[in-house]
Amino acid sequence: MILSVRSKILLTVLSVVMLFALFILFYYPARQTAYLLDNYNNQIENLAKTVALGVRIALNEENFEGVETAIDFVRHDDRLNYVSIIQFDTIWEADTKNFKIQKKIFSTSPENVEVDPEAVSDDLYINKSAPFTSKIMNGEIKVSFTTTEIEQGKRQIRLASAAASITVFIIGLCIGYWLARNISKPVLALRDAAHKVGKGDLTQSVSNKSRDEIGELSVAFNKMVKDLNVARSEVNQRTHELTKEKEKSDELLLNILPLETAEELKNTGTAQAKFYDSVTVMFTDFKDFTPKSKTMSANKLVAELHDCFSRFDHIIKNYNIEKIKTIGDAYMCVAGLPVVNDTHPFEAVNAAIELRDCMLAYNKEKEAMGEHGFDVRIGIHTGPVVAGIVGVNKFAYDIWGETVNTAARLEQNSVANMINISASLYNIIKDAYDCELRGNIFVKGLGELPMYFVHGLKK
Amino acid sequence: MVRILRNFILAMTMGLLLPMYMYAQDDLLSVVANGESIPEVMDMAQLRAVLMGEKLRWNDGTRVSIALMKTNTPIGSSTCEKLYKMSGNDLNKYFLALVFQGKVKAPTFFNSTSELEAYVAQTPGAIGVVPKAKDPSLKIITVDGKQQF
Repeated sequence: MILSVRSKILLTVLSVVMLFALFILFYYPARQTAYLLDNYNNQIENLAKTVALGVRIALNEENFEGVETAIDFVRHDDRLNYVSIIQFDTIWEADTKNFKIQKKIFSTSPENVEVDPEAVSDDLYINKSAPFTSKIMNGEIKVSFTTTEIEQGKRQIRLASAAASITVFIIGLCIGYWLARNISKPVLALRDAAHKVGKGDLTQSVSNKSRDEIGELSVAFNKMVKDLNVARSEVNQRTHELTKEKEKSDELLLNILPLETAEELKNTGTAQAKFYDSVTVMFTDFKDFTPKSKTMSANKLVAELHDCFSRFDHIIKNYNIEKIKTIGDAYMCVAGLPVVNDTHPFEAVNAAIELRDCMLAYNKEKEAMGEHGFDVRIGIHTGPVVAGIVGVNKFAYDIWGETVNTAARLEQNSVANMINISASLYNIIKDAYDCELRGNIFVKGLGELPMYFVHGLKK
Repeated sequence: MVRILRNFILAMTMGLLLPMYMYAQDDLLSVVANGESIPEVMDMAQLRAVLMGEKLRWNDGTRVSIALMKTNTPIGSSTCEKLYKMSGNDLNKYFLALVFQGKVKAPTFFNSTSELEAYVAQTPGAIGVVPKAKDPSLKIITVDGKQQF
């Protein structure tokens, strides 16, 4: 059973109050009753002694005033059962050596009460005796009082104790509740605030103006939350900066690697080479680039290449074609990986057409400015490749295989502003595109290959 | 010398004992009282009833106060014998028993007749027994036709 702070405080106070209440309820009445009984006994004994003194004076000095006053006082007491003079007579035995004392009732008030000279106190009556001696008579005064008043006194004490006990208990209960509430309230507020802080709400603040330990705890809590808030702000700022840096690095990584390969590399630290049984590899190259490059500055040359290849990048991106690399004025890309699809031949051809048209437009812009553009040659082939990453520094995603060589040869055997494709690609796209057979052309290392120009989509 | 001394002692002894002897010989008693409602004439039975505490109040409601010489005095002793017909001790025990039960007010005992007469003179309803009344203001009760008996 888990008790709350409020319950614990309340139980503690109630335990103390309960003990005190029990003390008032039982111990206090017992003591008071004993005290009352003691007083009562003393009072009766004193009365008996007073009467005995009065009797002694009356008999010795023939002065009855004392006994009259004393007996009047006793007789008018409502508690009186009887007051009696017991006369002691010495009875000698026949041998005159031994004697015994015979107790005889001399006078009793009230008269009709039967008195036992040997009676002792019991639950109903308290009997007290006081001896007297005189020249006339020896004896004792026996006073018997009822215990009714004692019982009434006991009852009153019990009632008063019960009332006091209940009052103490109620007051204790109120004080306990007040204490529990006052102590637990800030503690519970701290708890609730701590829960909210734990859930991320760092705007929490506990208001407690007391200067006790709980007040100090509240101040410490508020400072902790404030510090946490500052720390979280700093962490958020750092996280934001890190996120931005990560985005930059991811973007950079995606610039050199396909998305899937980049993810694999980030997750596993390596990327496995994969075989693709059908992709479409495209090469482009600028005719007479080398002679033209000699006529312009290096910056101009790089700027021209950057302009052209940027346009290429935008175009192939629209066709989900993966850029592999550029080598000088050559631009190499592949369709159909790393996500395998069946449409890569068409996408590659469409991109090639758009590249060609783009360069034609570019050339016109150049001519309009009085400059020379670049005539692009494009070669495309469809076939199997192996794709992967090589090296540990400045690694690059690349493809290998006969298909790559064939595509490169097709580009080399293409003509300015024309798209030269292989027979394998032709057989796939021939129904959709307007193609022209160029015949078998000898290619170094591959022999004669049938080649086709793609002019555009069939109308 | 011895004779003179013996005669002196005898004379002193006679001087001390003679008055007592004369009192004993002359132990007449008078009853004095203070109160208009107290009858001036009583018979012995009425007087005894009053002195025994049987009558608590006079006819006018005045409380009866009994004044007696102490029982160890000759007058007291004579009073016990003549009026109460009991010894002094018995008289004390008699009144103790009555007083104890609240039936009577005990007599007031005196060492001298002058004190007794003064008490009677100052206490309305008081009645006392003296050898011979000296205070003229006191009412002398005639008992059985005698003022001394």
